[in-house]
Amino acid sequence: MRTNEFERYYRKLYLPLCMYALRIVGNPYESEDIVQESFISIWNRIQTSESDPDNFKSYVYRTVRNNALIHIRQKSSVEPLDEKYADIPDDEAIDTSERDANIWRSIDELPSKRRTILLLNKRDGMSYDEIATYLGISKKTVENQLGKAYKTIREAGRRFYLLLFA
Amino acid sequence: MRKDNEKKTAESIRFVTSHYEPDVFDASKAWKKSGIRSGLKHASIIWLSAAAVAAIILTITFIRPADMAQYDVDITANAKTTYALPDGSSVTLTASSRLAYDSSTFATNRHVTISGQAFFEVTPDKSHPFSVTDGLATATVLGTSFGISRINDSSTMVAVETGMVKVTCNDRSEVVTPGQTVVASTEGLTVSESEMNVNSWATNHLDFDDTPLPKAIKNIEEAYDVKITDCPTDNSILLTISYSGDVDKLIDIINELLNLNLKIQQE
Repeated sequence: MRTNEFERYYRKLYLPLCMYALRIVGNPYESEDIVQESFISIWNRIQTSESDPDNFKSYVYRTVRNNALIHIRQKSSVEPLDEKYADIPDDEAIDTSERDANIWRSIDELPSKRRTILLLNKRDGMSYDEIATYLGISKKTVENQLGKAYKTIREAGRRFYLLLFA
Repeated sequence: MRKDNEKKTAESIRFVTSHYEPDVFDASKAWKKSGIRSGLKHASIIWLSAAAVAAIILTITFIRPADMAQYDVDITANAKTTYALPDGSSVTLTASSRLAYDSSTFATNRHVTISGQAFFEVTPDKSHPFSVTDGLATATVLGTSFGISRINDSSTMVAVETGMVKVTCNDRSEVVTPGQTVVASTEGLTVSESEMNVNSWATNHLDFDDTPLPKAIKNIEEAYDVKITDCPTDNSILLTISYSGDVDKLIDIINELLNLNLKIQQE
């Protein structure tokens, strides 16, 4: 495999693989490192072997899964975050990772204030009233912004199925 | 089928929002850092991103002694030292920086006062917000972490590493997210993009992304408090690396990558 082809795979699979690793280790920074290490080791292996792996995509997923499992064992936090991702990655696990990736990207692209409100509510568990007081805005604005944020990310999740069954 | 899909989407949204951090998972940056295109020797690069850095940086240079005398815990560091707080959070102070808080109320009111420069790793606890003040501005942790520095007597800088922080100054406030810096002064609050490696002095973690070598070296000198000699002044030499660890190893790696002969000046 030439560098250009490898780079195309890298860019296309990067975010879904990070999502896949995230399901196992539960920490985005560690997931990034695991995916990076996996790609580098695969690249080094390709350089020294005669033929490319058969199904490249599932080969990369398997490598990331193995590295993620090694990682959590080293951290002695014995159990993977999500039990079913400890299995050999199947089509469903790959679909989930790609769906997660679409949703992650849609949050990246939200206007920053709207994103802040979404995270305060969903990630940090603050109520509408708490967010309104915290940010010094009206509860109506919080509801409004959250409604818009959900619409965007739900559509990102649906877009995935449109692509899948098109 | 449709209902099943809606359910899966809802589950994905739950998962992604609860783990979301801004500014991670950038495929282009990661590809560049991998060094595959440029054929770097990977073995010598230590891949370790900001995983452990749920952190706050605080730099405050001026506080009247009287403001701190009321607290029963009052620490001044002789050299760079890390202290544990009663809630499991930790604080790293630079030499001659000072930290004070009230230990009898700390469990219910996680509030500390700072002068000098400090780096915090805060244990999240939604029902007990963690806040730090320097007398001018107050920073309150929303997600996991944040940072403040006083740049002169009339303005304070807050740089966020991870999580979200609310900064209040004279009844005005801004929410700051990772990669952003807010400067608070009597005139108000201004938000901008953070300088790279703003918290490196405490984390010993450095990121360079096509950074001109002289600038990178300056960053390294500040982060590790060392002097580096034999550095070319050529701004066209670019460095891309993500590194955590001690400075000797880092200089070895850079020398090997760029075929240089940088040295750390011994005191």
